[in-house]
Amino acid sequence: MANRVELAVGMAREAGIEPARAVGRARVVLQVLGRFATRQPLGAIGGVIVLALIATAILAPQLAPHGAKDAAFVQYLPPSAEFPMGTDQIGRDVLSRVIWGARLSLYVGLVSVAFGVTLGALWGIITAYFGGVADGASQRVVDVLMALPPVILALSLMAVLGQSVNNVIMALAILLTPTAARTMRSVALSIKESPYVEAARAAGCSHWRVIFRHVLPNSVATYIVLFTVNIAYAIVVEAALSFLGLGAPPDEASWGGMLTAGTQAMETAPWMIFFPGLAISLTVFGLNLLGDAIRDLTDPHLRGGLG
Amino acid sequence: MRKYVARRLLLFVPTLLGASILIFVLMRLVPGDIAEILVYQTGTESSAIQQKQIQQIREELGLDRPVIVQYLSWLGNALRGDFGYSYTQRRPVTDILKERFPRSMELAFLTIVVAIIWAIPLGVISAVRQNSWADYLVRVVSISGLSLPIFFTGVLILYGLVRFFRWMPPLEFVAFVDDPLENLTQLIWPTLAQAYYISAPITRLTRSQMLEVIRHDYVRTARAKGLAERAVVYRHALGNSLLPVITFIGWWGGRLLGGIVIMEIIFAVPGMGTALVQAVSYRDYPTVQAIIFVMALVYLTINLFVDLLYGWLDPRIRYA
Amino acid sequence: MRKSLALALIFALVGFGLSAAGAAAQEKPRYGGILNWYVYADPGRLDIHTESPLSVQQALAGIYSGLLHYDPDDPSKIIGDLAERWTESPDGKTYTFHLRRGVKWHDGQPFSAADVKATFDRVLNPDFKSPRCGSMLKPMVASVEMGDPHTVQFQLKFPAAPFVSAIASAWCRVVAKHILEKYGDLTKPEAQIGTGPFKFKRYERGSVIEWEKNKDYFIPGLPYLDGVKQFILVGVPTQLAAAKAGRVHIWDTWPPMKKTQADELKGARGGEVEVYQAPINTIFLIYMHTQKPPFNNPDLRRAVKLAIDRQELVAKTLEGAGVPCALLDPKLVGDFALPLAEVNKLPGCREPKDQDIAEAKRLVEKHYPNGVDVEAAVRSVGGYVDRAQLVLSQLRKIGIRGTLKTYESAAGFAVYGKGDFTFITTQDRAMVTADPGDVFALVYTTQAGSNWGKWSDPKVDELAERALKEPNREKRKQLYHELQRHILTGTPSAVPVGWVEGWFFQDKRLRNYKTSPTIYDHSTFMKVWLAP
Repeated sequence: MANRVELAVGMAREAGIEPARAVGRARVVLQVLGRFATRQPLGAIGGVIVLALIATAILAPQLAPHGAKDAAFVQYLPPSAEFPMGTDQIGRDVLSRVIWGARLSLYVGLVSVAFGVTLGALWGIITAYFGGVADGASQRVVDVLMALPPVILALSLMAVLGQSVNNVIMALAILLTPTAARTMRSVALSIKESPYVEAARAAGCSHWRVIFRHVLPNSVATYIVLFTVNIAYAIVVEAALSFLGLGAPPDEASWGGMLTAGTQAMETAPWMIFFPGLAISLTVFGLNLLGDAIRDLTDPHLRGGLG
Repeated sequence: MRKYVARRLLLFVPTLLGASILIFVLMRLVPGDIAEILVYQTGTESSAIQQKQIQQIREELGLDRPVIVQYLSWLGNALRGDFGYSYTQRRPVTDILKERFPRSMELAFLTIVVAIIWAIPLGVISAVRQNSWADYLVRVVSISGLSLPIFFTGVLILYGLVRFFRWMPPLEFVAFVDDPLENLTQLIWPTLAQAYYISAPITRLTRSQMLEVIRHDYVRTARAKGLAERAVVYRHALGNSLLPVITFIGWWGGRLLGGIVIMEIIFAVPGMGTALVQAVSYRDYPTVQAIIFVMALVYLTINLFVDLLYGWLDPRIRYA
Repeated sequence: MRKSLALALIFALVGFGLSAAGAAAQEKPRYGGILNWYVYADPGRLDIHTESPLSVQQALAGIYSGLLHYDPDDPSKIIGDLAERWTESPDGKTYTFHLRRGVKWHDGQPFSAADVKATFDRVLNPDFKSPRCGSMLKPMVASVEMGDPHTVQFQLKFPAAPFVSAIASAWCRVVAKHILEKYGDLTKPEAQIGTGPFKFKRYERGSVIEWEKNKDYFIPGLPYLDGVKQFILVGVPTQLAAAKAGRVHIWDTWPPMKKTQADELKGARGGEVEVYQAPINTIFLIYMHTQKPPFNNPDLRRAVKLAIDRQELVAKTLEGAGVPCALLDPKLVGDFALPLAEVNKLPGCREPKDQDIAEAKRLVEKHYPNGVDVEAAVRSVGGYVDRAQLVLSQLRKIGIRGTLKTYESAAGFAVYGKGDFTFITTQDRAMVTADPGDVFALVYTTQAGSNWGKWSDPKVDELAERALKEPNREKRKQLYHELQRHILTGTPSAVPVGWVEGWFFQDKRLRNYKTSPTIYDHSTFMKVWLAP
């Protein structure tokens, strides 16, 4: 336990949380990255893929030859020079939609995870720290939420909320909160019993001071791992929901929705299946590699548990 | 140990109840109910008659009562094994469950079996030859398994079968008891798609557990005693690695159920998943309620079993 | 030696060829064989009087008989089924049906007029929910009386021209009095006792529906088939795969194939199948809510009517399988429909479209100089979402900016019925009979069940009512022409984009199968047979 705390603190220090001169900081960051790449080559590959995804998402307007909803072309064109990934059932350019889909997936993934994991983490940490009835009750709520298969819970939530991108984010966030709460709770529990915290309480620090000074910083490593791993999960669940027809509206450039449209014309236009599917897989692949590497480095507690 | 068991059992019932309440409330929050759907879908009757009919249907089905009353009534019946009548099929929901449950469970069972047969040996190889090319290969294969979403894999398999083998989904579902071979032929494809996906974490978990265990003293002692490498690996290391793997399978059970819904849809298997999606679409509350109740029951039961098994095998808990 | 062998072979081949040609020239129906086809969804409940989906009709069509039906040999005609003949009183208000004798129910009980009376008493009961047969007959029929055990009389409230088509509809089949008494309702498989050419053999939910030949059918020598098997295949990819693999003999159900799919099928099965395009008596509509802005303003409704490019919609989203612009399709109702030449010259349909689009833009700008934002509803079914996008892109040209809101299939109807929408980008409505009055009764009158936009035009109500009660065919035709012109040149809440057609196929071994004027009426397979 102590080792883990030290490691986390050390990593934070290495990343420059303590005051340091700007140049020194940059050099330190590069050193960290370089060390990371050599120790975890697979993780580095993942990192490159994720960076490519982020770049595609941000630069979508520049990269995509057409809009995501422009239906001006001939239907079911096979891949060609003009349309490298072909066109779909109403004549939209698949390449453009795959690129815009990166933006949608990243947006949905990041925002839903940011909300879900953060809220869940705070929930788990605070109830774990204060314990008692609040902790017990919230544990039961988490149990109930986790008793339902995730896809089914997400389906029902989407049926209630109605189909829109923002509702998908809300449903996913609700999905992610319980697991985050549970994981961060156990982390918080072990930190709570550490000598640091005992000392701080003995010295008269208030609860909130202890939480902010000791519990939160030491949970950051696990939080980061949770965050990265759940982005991949959120992207896949969004695609699954769109595949089942209850995710983002069908005209949006969702990779999952594109996959469903592709199954309707499987033999006429197999490219409608391949490219969005590959996009999802590559994204998840990169995120998994990266997440694995981060986990290997920081938190043996979670090894092999999530993902 | 007794306290542990008691505590676990005590948690089971409220959680199940809580899950049933959650779904009950969620379904009633979904816009539209069966009365509106039935009447408006045809849209042939005049508007005045439509309103009257909607009210009539709601009264017949008890949907005009307060939600709490509806829930308690459902619960009372459910405890006696009566899950009510399906709004769309007008037959007891228990009949629907009896039909569909074995099919989904068969799919789940096959998926786990195939995944284990494939994954554990790979994990062992990967651990025993750590950092060799075999290890890297297995790790990459398993991460790619995890990265291909099951609906993509399923669709790819479907495409391959249709395009290259002129295959088509079975027109009639054949139960295992009627014709085992035909049944397995029908179920093998969704099984493979999902087994590939879940074998990935099983492989990695087996690998990491084996790695930890291999370094332990008793393994070294066994080696020192001169036991054959294989005996060392399989008897001592593997035996002790299985525990977290079993826990993991239990934990994964929940996700498996969701994946089965998707597989059933892609491969046209008439199981609980397809029944559920249809029931949600038509706001067939009793069917939705019952199917999700059963899924939660299965999931919690597996978890309970795994927890108890874990408790029994972990000496710290067994002798507490 | 070789030479004579070769000669023998040639003679054999020629002989074979000749006999084959001879056989084709006068084909005698062959007994035996099971027809395989499919239904697109699980019917669930099997009561032919209370249910409304096509899947239920498909499951039960061959089991029951009606008083009248569409002639299997020539579906444009209505002939007697359980009724040998029928007469209409001079004032058009009384119809007398003379029933066949010696007809037996599938359980051996004898059929009589008491069954007919029980059937229609049930359907006509004001408290009985019958959205198909009931909603057609209740406005027209005052009472049903039994004469002797082989005669039934219908008293109508007024001389109703659509009565005969309604009685011939597959939804108005005759059920057994003793079965109704035994079971109360007809939702269960066990209650499916009819007088039709096939008996209800098996219903495996989610999987298959089977019929077997009724050996005591009241027409001796029929049916030819030993049975019919309907697989429950959900989703077009599965259905198409079954068709390509030769596992089904026919595609004549919902949804029809699109051209690309028809081509795929032709590619897969070549000369074994006959692929054809046919109307499905279904109209493609765009709805506007007349009691909410912006479409409570008739100018905006007119703008939409002018701007929608019906020809483009039919060409792109229906792949050319449709009749754009028509409010009544001449192929289906004959001369009751306005001639297409006239319809195609009306504003909104005429080409080139520049004038109409400019006018539409002007109308929008008059009230909304900066354009207007509208929420556009669509059910996420089949190709609807694709159609919706094209519709919205057409409207963008005149300053109406639509954002698509998708609804799940079933729930979407609840939204439409309640009126919780501003604009419905596309929704098809299928007609139940081939009577020209159907579409107006369903969509355009004030009380119409699918008048979701809550349009109320007294002239439409008046014309529709008069046409319903007009016994003289020529006068009736004039009324319907006037009605069509009024709606097409006016500002209705439902814009008719066109009548939908689709692609279907038959296995070439299937003989004597003919499509009927409605999607609900052609699946009894009474006179169909399979060549080897």
